[in-house]
Amino acid sequence: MKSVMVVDDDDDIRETISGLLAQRGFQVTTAADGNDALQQLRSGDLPGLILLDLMMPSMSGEEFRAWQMNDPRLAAVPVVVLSGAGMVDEVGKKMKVEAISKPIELTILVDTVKRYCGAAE
Amino acid sequence: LVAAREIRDIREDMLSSSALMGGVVAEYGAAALAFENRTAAEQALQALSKHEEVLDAALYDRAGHYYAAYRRDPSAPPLANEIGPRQSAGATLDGARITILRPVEVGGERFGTLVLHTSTEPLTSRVRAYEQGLIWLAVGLLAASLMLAWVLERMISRRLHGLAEVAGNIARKGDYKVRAADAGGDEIGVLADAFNRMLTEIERRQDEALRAVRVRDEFLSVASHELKTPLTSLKLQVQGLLEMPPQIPDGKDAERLKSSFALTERQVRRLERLIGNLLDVSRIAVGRFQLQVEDVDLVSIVRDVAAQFSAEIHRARYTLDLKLPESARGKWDPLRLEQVVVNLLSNALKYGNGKPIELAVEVQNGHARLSVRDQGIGVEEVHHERIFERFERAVSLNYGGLGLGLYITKQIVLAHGGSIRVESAPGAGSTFVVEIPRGSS
Repeated sequence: MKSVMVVDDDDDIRETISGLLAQRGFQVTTAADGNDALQQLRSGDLPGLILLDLMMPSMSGEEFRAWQMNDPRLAAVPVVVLSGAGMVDEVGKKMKVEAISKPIELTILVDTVKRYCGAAE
Repeated sequence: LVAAREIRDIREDMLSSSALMGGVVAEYGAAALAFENRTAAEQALQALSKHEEVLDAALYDRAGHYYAAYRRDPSAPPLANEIGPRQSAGATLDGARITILRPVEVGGERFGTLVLHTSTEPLTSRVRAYEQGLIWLAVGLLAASLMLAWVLERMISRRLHGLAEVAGNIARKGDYKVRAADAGGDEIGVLADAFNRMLTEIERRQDEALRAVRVRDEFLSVASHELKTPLTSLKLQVQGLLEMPPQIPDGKDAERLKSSFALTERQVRRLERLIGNLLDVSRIAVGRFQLQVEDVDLVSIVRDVAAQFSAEIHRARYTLDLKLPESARGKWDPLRLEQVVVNLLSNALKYGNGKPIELAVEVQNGHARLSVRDQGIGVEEVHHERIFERFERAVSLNYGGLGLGLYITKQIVLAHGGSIRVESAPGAGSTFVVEIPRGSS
């Protein structure tokens, strides 16, 4: 089973999502912004999914996605955008990724991660 | 009118001069008639040839028979042979000639009658000259008035139309950047200047209004994002709790349950704070922002807030340096003052880049001074005033937050009769300095 990376600048959201997914048997890593996420990806194993917030200081979700697509090793890692901003569908279309709006349902969160990373152990 | 009076005068002149001429000829003719000397009579009449206007003249004897005549134009029809013997004197104007009738008398005895015809040609030619003069005068006046109209059109109408066109364009296109080009120093130039000044003012207000609308729209999207963030955690935590097995947990499960409730409670507080800020802003907007003043110690408030934040400070690897006197007492609203310290410390933690933060209180000259210093990203000088405005921020929206903290802080400080300012430069950190009078009401 592949791991899932949660990229969000909000401590509570990171803690909540990673806690709930870990309780359900998923392997979870976290990053506080795009820079942090890129560093971790470049130096370690690749996750099966990146759950990406959009509005983050220093490097936004969109900027992260552009950097990721520029790096051949990282480009294939699937991204699902979690955004609290309006028009999340439009943003997803523009970034060519799946997009889910906050506040997200727990079942949708778990099903999405399952789809990309396989069933939890 | 002048012409009519002139013509009347000429006519009277002619009548009287013709009558006078008749008088003179009658005097001469009288002797000739009295002595029945036809040659003398003809000579007397011939004297009239000097006067161009005389057409003809005839003398008749006392019985009214033709006696002698003078004719300027010999081809003209002959004169009447007979007239009434006792024709009385008179002058009549008929058509193109004047007829003068004059008794020829000597010493009261009548010897005959003189009939004299003079031409009115001088009169009609004078009238024609007047008519011609009038026509020329009319043509001249018409030309002058056309000229005047053209000049006025050039001076006034065209420029007014220019202004009207500018106004029309603005109304149609809503483009307040255009200006009237009239640069005259006269009244219309002054009008154009005033018009342009009005346009500048309208443009400024329109920009202001558009900016306000943009700020409001941006705020609505920021506010919904801000509210959704704690709601996301809250919803996921609650749904996670609902999925837990329905028995009293122990060991590791109990720990998990406790931390989940702690996180849930934190989200509720975050939502409460956001809504509190929104309410404060609306209270300020409607002027219902009131202080509950009592005797309080700023130092103990600062210590309380520092304690509240200790977990967060520790988690974000900050150090907080407190520089506090024994006490700093004053007449203040303790909850609002706490809000000031909370807002300034939150900002320092948000923008402080993890470097040490200093919180200091000083008392001087009836004032208390609170300063919060971070060593983070700092604020450019151009934003130093703006960041205290509603919905404003010096950084990108990605940093989150409603953009209300410093606004509310400033309103609280102002309500206490104090002042707030920032000393900062990009990369050099920020120091927010609050000064409030201790005896403030």
